[in-house]
Amino acid sequence: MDYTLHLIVLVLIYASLVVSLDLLIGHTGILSFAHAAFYGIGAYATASLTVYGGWDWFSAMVAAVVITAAIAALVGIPTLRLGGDYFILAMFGFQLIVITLILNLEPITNGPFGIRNVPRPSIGSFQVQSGFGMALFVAAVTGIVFWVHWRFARSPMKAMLHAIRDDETVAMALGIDVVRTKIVVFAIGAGFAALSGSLMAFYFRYVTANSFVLSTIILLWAMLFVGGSCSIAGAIAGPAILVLFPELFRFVGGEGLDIPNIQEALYGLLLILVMIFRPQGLAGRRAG
Amino acid sequence: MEAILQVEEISQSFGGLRAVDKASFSANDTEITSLIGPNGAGKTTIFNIISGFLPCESGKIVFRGQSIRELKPFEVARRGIARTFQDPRVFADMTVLENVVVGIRQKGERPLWALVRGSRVNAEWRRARERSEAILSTVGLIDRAKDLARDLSFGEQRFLSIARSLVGDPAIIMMDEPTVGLDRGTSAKLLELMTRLVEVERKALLVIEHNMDVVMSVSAKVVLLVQGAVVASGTPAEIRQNRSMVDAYLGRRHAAASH
Amino acid sequence: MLLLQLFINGLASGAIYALTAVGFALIYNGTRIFHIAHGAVFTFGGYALYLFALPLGLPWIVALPAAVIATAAFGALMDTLVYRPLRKRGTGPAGMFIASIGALTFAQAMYSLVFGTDTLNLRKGGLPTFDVGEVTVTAVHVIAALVALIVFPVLQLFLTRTRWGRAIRALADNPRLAVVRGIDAERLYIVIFALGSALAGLAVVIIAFDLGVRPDMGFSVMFVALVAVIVGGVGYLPGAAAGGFLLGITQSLSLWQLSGRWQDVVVFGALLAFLVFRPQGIFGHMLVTRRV
Repeated sequence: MDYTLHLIVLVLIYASLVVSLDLLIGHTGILSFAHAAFYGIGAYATASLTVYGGWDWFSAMVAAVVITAAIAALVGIPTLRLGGDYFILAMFGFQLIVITLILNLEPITNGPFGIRNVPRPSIGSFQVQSGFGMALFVAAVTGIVFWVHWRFARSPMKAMLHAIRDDETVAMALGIDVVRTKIVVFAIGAGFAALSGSLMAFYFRYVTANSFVLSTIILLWAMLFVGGSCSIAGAIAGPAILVLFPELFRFVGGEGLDIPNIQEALYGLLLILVMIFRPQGLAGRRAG
Repeated sequence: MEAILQVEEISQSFGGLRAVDKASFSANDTEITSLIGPNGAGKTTIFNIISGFLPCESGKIVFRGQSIRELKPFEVARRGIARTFQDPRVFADMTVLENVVVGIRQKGERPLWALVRGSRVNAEWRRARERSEAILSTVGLIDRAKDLARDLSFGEQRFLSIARSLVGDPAIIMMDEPTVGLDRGTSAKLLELMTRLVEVERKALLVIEHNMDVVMSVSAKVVLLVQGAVVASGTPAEIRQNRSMVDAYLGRRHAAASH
Repeated sequence: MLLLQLFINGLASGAIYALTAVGFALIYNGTRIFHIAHGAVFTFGGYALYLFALPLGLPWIVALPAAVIATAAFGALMDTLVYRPLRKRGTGPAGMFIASIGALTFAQAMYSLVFGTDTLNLRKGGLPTFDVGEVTVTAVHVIAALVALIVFPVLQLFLTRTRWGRAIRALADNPRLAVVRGIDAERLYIVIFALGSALAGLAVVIIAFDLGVRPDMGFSVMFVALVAVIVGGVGYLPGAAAGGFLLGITQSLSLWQLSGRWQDVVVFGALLAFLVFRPQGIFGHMLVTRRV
């Protein structure tokens, strides 16, 4: 029972990451390779502020979101005004150096050892104790994230982002400040990723750089495209499938099998196959 | 009629090629000015320069008395210069109505506020929709408002791209070959729209055109561009008198073109 | 003298980056595909060399060219299996990139599964070296320099003097016009991928000799190669080569003051600097991917 709950929490955290990634990639056409890096920055900021800085959980969470959004804006300003390929490369590099920085800025990140004993969220003297309580917390925050994205999908903002995605030149000719909008959206997406990072820090109570490496962002992309972009349902379906499916391997008997690499191979293959045969994924509303 | 847009001695080269060579002309308010010339003469390049997508090495561009040379494309658009492109370039996956709504600027444009304010957003959405519907009525596409843009015929997409450009209530609309690819009937409807835009909505039009019938019938002024330079400029009658010059530059190609 | 040694080392690693960068740039210019899987093609060459040299025991004189050819073939295969179906579908550049990420991930995972994650060494014992003054020059330095000196002029000749080369440049300049003029784009894509991958193959056999073969070896090389393309100016092949050398030297010289852990940060810093101040690169080129 506990394990099932654990899986559900994992799916929820990934779903919250995928839905904010969808805002960037699916709706605005910003091929962000840095989402996992922002997830990591959020998680580390939360952990570092609570464990080393003695901050309370809520302030740490808010600060993590704000700091990450600010970093995203800083990185986005020079890179988003250039063409897509320059941006992709810059994010690729950003992802690499965030890992390097996490591993090497020992005073704040404890280097390769990670940060342990992240406190549980609390209201007054009541602190969430059980796994089930934490799962509820994660579900609540994830629910809010989904609600915001659902509202967005019903707002005029969505059409504007789609215009930027589909034809930037025409969008500019219509008076849309494309660069500024992209920077704002990028920062918002990064903020949400940081929020997911916070959740992760509180739930697992332990953060390491391993959770934010390149394979994480690839997993997120696979989840996004398998589930389908521009779709709230897809943002849940993708993580559900890609988290639960490897669990089947446990029953098949995974002794001596290099499960992580098998998973990686499958994610990679899945990305290719989805692009060739079903770019809109399971529930998505537009072809890649 | 007053000149609303003035282009003075603008020049631009690409690599070693001089695409625009000290071109000067002006477009008057509430009039249709046509820009004609052989393919590759630099007409679209001039549009791109005016609308801010390309730089120009020298010269002045003045709109309503103010220089717009250094402005970015979205700033040019917000000043009141709209443009269409050679391809309609509609947003295929959106509905006709959404295509038009996109250009309507929300007050303040703060995405987060829009989400939080709830009902205010709905009121703005409604206003935006009403304005868009009015524009669609002007161009005659109101019946197709709910259809996907990809399902429109080429001619309808052309009209949609014009509708889109009207959203910001521009003072001048630059149209890049609006009649290309249209059959006679649709062309006539387009001419009608252009005339209405000028006479009823009091807008100025700057039009790149190859179709001489169109040019001669609705333009107040014609500007002939050859190899990046303005070679002649005047009323349609004056240009017609310069027939030999026009033919020399356009003639053989024009006769061969099956317009 | 330490700085001089670092400089020589930087030239050698610069040659590797230059070869990889030019390979990538050739493919990018010719096909407009952000072929990030180039890194996996690079690694493939390393494993091919390993297989030819060790289990198969082919003499080096055979194994080395064979590995380069195998790399070229693998790159061409990737185009046929992954990019061509997407082209038929009309997939845009974003979709191509996503598929390329998939290919990179898949390939790298397969290398780990088949060969394990440890570094495989291709030589026993040290490299032949000799000293020139205070500087130690290894065989790798020499080979890298030789390869660069020979390959780049040959490539330049190929692109300017042969029919295929001119066709490739026509395709790179204006894809639609080239097709209208009768160029068989699909066949040319295979040639482009083979050629670009062969360059990566040349790079990897040099470095594999020195450092062995690992599943992720293509990775950081690829990153530096990509930055080299930007530094040199997208769309300009000699610029990519120059960028490769420049970054190799900079990275190596940075070791003078910084620990090796910060190498990626140095390169990223260079990337950011160029993106902010001079995105068109040193030589002032930006590939116009969209005509207004």
